[in-house]
Amino acid sequence: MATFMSKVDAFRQISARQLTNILDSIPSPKDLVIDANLIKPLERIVGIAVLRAHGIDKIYKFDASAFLSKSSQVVFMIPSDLISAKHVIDQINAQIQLESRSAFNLILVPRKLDSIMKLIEEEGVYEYVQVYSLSYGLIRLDKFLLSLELPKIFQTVFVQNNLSLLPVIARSLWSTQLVFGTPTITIHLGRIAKKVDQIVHEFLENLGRPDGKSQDISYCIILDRDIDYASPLLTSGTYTSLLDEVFGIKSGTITVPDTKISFSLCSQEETFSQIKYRHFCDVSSHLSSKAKRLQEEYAKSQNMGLQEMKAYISQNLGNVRSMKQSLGHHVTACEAVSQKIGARFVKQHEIEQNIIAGRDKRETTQYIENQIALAEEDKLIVLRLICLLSLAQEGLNAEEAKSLKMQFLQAYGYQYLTVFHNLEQIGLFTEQPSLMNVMAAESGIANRLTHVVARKNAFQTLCQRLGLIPSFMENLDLKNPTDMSYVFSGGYIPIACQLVNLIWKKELSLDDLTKIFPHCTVKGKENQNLVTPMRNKIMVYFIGGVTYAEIAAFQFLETLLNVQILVIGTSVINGNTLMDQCI
Amino acid sequence: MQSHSLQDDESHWNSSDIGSFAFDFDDSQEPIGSSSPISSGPSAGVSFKRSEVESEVPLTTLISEKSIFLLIYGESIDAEMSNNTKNIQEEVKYLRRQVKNRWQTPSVKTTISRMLFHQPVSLELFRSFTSKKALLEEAISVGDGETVLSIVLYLSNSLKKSLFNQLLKKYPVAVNQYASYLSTKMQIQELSDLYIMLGRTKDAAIKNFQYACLNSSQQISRLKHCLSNHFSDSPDKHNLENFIKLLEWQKTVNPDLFRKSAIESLTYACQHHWNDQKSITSNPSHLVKELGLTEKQLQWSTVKGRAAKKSWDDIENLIITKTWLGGKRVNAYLAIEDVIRKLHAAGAPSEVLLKYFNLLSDVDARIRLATSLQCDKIIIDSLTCHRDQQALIHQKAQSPTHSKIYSQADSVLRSFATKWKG
Repeated sequence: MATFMSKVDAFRQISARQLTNILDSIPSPKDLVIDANLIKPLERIVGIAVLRAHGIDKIYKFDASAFLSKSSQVVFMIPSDLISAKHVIDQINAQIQLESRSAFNLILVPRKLDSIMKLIEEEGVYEYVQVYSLSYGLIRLDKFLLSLELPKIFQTVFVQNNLSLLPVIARSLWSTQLVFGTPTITIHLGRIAKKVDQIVHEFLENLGRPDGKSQDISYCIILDRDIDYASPLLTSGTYTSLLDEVFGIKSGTITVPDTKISFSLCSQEETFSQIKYRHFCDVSSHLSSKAKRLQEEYAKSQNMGLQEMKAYISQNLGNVRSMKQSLGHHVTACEAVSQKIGARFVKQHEIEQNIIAGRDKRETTQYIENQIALAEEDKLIVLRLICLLSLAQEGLNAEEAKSLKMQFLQAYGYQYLTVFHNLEQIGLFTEQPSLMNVMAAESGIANRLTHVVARKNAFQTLCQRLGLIPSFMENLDLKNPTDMSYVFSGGYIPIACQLVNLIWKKELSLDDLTKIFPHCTVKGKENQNLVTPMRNKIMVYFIGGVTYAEIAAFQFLETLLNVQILVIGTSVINGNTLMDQCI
Repeated sequence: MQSHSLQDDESHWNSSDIGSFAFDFDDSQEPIGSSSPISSGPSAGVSFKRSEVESEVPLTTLISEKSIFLLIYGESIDAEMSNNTKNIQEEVKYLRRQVKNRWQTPSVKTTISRMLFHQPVSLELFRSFTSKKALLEEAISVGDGETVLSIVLYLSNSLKKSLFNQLLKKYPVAVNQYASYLSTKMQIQELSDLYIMLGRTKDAAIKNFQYACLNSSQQISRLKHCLSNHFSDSPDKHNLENFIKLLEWQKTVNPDLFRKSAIESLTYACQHHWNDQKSITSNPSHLVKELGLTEKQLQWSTVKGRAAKKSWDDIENLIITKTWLGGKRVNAYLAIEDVIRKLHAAGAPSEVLLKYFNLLSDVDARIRLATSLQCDKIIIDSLTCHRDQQALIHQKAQSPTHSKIYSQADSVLRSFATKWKG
């Protein structure tokens, strides 16, 4: 029997086989022209030696303005969207004009779309290009972190209501069932999660079901990003979250600009694996204590006899040297983070926590207005605060909404009018219904009165019901956290993480869960044997992207509950990438 | 591998390589966006951060053969085949049925399911209005947006407009999918008509606005068109009007300002047209009036614009007003700390900064800020003024022996003129 951990590698091997099958059906030698955004994910699936073994000669980054390959077989690899496809078609058309004798192949990632096939037909290149689709599966970014690496899915699904890629999500869920078996309990949370489940059903009916030999997962939760917007909007204090916010982590790899430093989430390097999910304030002290130990060791070596020295050099010197180097890298990264956001971090945190807890509204609004006036921060950061305020208050009052929007447009450009429209659509920039409207909409005086008096804020109610805002701020120790809220410096616990916590500990029944969330369905039955050390694997799938804060909180929860949590996202996002997808 | 223990998992984690392969391309040689080969030939310029995985666990030991087959070939073979063929006889039976069914209309359910898995279908066989509607309903119920779109496109080609619209009105999922397609293909007129037909005027307005913003040469005329056709009742009317006024102002004053925001334009005016006559368009006050900008916005733009010109007096006149008793009053909409930071960043001399530091009544805050900006003289002055001997001694101890701040602290500490507190 293979272990759960080793099974996670199956996804990569399958993706690699799918790719090499496609490559084998194209005559060699051939050039690969690949879209820049697909390079990192591809690197996680196959190495260059594999590509060579399957006949790839040169590899080019796709550039819409230049075509450089001179091979007689060209393989384009691009994301399946109409615009990328149009660029490739234009190049193929240009080559045909030049009477090129090359044969063209197009690998669409992750899906062959009818609309693209139609475009190929309309543009008259149908007979010149062979189209393949590579539905690469889940890509492993860390021990228990998988991603579909579809960074724009939030935009297409939630902002544009375009459901073309839902089968890709469904396929990945179907593949987890084939690898791990059907979970004992599956919970769907959200509108899209339910739609995806319908397509998973089609896959199971038409393509095949798991053989029933293994049933690794006890609880599986599939949820829409819009169930918890606070987690991406808030600034997280963990090391990885801040690295992501400041430098951007691409397919699990961080590169510190202006240096040659880069490290990978899944690297087994000791220092990083110890600090990656810790709170930033704990990281520097951890680094300095490590540095101290290193120095002691070095000092010891100064007093060694020759024999001892010889042994030391052959055994430890390499470790010490690489440790020194990695410490140096992390110190540089920490400094860069502090420099970039150190000045605003404390204040921003205070403001965010006030917003979440519904305190000091006047000060918050003023802070946001000042941020707009100073215009020193990126617009996305300001936008995040506005959305958070709207979310936590269940809408801004009409005056406030109008004025914040106007000031934002004046400071950053009127063209961002569309952003507010999009945010409105997804419920992140809303106006509270004015008293007049409420009165007009409802009949009966009693009704009116109760509404006005007891207008409950759904966000605060949910926070209270699930215990998302801890009350023990005073004795909070971020270096030795006792609950998951440490990822937001004690201010908030991500909903998905708290749900797993409560459900596992039987502090929230599945019945109650379906009552709290409007789009929630539960499949399977809880039984006595469910919560045992042997059945301690949980899977959580985020449609629309997961954040590093949530990943850190889950990692913390694993130790707390003695479980293994496989976290899957359509991609990994943060507040800025979320806002960017609304632009 | 028998046991499930955590330790096993850990050791697997540590031994197997799940790292990435990094197709190494040297950034110093390959400018980003260049389309020269990332790697060329077996050796040239290619190096690996990690070697290939040598000992990956064979797939067959991880999951069953059947699962492997399904995952790799699942969608590329005929759906019905994969599920039903267990032996030759069944396969023959299946193929017979296939031949027989070739010219018959397949069921709606089968058709939609085949479309989901990219198998060929002939939609032309669905000619009745009822069957067309059934196709759309089934596609929506399965939930694959691409199938929905294909059906919508088929319906738009095979139904008259009014019937097509009738169906769209009933199925918002179909509308969204179609709208997303029209938007990507930049068929704005059709998209706008669609939204208006459905009464979604706000969506129509925004799409037209977005489209108008894309074209830089005709932006003003397109926005004007957009304003009169789509924004007359919109709460965003004034924002659009101001946008047009801004673009017109930019065109007169300096076309290079195009795509700069209102505040950036105001800052530009404060920097370059501060002394222009009030009646001239380029004067900052003109823009403030035109766009209804606030006193606070003007003040901040002034600080930025005049600081860039090192005209410290202009800023002082704006922020510090003298009262008739000769005292000073702050006339600032912004935090003095922010003003100081901006002036410091613009390279204001100590004397200028000192005036603003003195406006901070909280001496501790003054010292904190001075320390963070490394304004040595101000730290010493503030401490002296605060009569804080201990802090000064501390400051001196922290400074390098030959630095300016060391000697300043030293001389203040020696002087008899200061009466220390405590």
